[in-house]
Amino acid sequence: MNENTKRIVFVLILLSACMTASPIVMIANNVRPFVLGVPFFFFWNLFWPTMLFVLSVVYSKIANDE
Amino acid sequence: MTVIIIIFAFLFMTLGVGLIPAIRGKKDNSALSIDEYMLGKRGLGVVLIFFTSMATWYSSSLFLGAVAEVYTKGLEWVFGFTSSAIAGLVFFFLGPKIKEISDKKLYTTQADLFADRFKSNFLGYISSFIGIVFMVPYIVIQMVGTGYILEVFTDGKIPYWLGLLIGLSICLIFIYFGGVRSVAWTDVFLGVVFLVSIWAVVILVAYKGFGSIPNLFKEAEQTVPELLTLPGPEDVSWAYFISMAWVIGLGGYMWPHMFMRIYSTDSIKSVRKVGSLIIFASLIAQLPIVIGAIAAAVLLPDLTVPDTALLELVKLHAPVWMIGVLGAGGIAASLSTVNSLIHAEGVLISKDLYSKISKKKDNDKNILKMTKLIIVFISILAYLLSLTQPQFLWTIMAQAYGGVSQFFPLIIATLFWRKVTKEGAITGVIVGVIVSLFFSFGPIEMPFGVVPMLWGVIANTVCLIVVSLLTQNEINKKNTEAFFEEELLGQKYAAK
Repeated sequence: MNENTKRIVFVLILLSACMTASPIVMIANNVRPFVLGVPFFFFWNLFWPTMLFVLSVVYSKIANDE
Repeated sequence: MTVIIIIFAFLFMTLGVGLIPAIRGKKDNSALSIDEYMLGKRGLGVVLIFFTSMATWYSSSLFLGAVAEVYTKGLEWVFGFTSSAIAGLVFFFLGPKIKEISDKKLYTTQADLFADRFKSNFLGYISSFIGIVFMVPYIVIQMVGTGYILEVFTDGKIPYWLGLLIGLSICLIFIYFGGVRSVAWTDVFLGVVFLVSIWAVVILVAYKGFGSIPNLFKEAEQTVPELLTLPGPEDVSWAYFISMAWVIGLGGYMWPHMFMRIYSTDSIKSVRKVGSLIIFASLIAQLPIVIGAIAAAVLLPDLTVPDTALLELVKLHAPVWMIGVLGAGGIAASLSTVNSLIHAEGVLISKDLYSKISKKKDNDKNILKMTKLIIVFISILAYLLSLTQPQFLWTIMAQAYGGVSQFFPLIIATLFWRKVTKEGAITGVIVGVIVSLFFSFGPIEMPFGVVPMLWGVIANTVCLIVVSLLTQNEINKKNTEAFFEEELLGQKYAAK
């Protein structure tokens, strides 16, 4: 069970990294809409590292419990 | 005068914090052991390792260079968020395995791991040599930043040469007496000073200049819209944006001084926690820099020296004492990087070169003495080079990631691929460096817009795999089995 969850979180981590470190990032290259008061492109580049942080915390919780 | 008082108070506090571990050691009458001096007895906790990693990573290049980049090229620079997050992931996923092995085999440097895995001193020398060569210009560039900040922030009252001397002397004193624990504690202090000062300044400027951060970006949309998306005013390509994120992210923790932080951590659980926090730090340390630079682009569009954009903003919108606070933040960013680099340079030269090449059966006390001597020598050399600022140092520094990022495929293979051979490893690293240099200085520049360093990593990976598969032999097999067998025995021992 834990191993499966860990695998899923790992895949989500890879996907999150690709959102800003692969050509996918090009879809976010717009000023509008503003999200949380900042341009969309800027928001996109802040959001995915935040996701990486959250996912890494989840992964580390599972790994440390093992 | 207020500015000078604030900056000097900060410098004295830095020295004080750095000397506390050394004074404590003297009080306890515990002689400083080599393991304590180099790695903090492999017992530094989450707070120390996180701050020393963060403060070392974010240097004066962020405080001066990144501000100028955003000011002139716009949000192209935000690949920095991704690259720092990828670096955190490298620490998070590879760190536990590296920590586990290094604890069992008592490695001190990155070269120890490679030399032991492949039973090859030559590979150890190559990795150490690359680290030593690229760290020298790194130290000098940070020192130039320190001297420059002190001179500019005090309106020339502290001249460049004196600023350099003060900054280096402070670092030298606490590194000499306290080793890595002093480096780590000062990094906690310097990291906090950097974060508090930069956030305070940026929030103050955003509210005084625009009323709020969202208003700042609305204003930027009207006046400098080209800065808010790619390609920006300087036509930056997506290939550059993405490849820079990967190469800096994968190479960041391959720097010897960063790599040694994994060895110094007190447990595998702490390594994972620090990895997560490093990802988080990519946001808290860099976000104010971007906001500040965009604010400067809107309010002060015609700066001739954009490096000083934050300083000009503070002069415009904040009380005088804030200049001192910002200056302290800038110097904190430089010194927190310099101290780790000088310490690591001393450890690498004494442990990887002196003790191996001299083949003396020196005891730990002598190696420790030699490390301290080298640290003094490196500091003097850094001072002289910072005064003269020879151009070749910048050329070497520009190639730094082309060198250190070559260790990333090697580390992956070392830890997870049993078929990798010594010949494959050596060929991969050498070809990687050559390819990176070729695309930097040769006739073909950045094919498909991808940065030369990443081409080096790709070529390295291909050579490492192909040559390893072609050079499978009994000796390599034996070395691999011995390495993993020892690891397995260690695991059984730990389980008992």
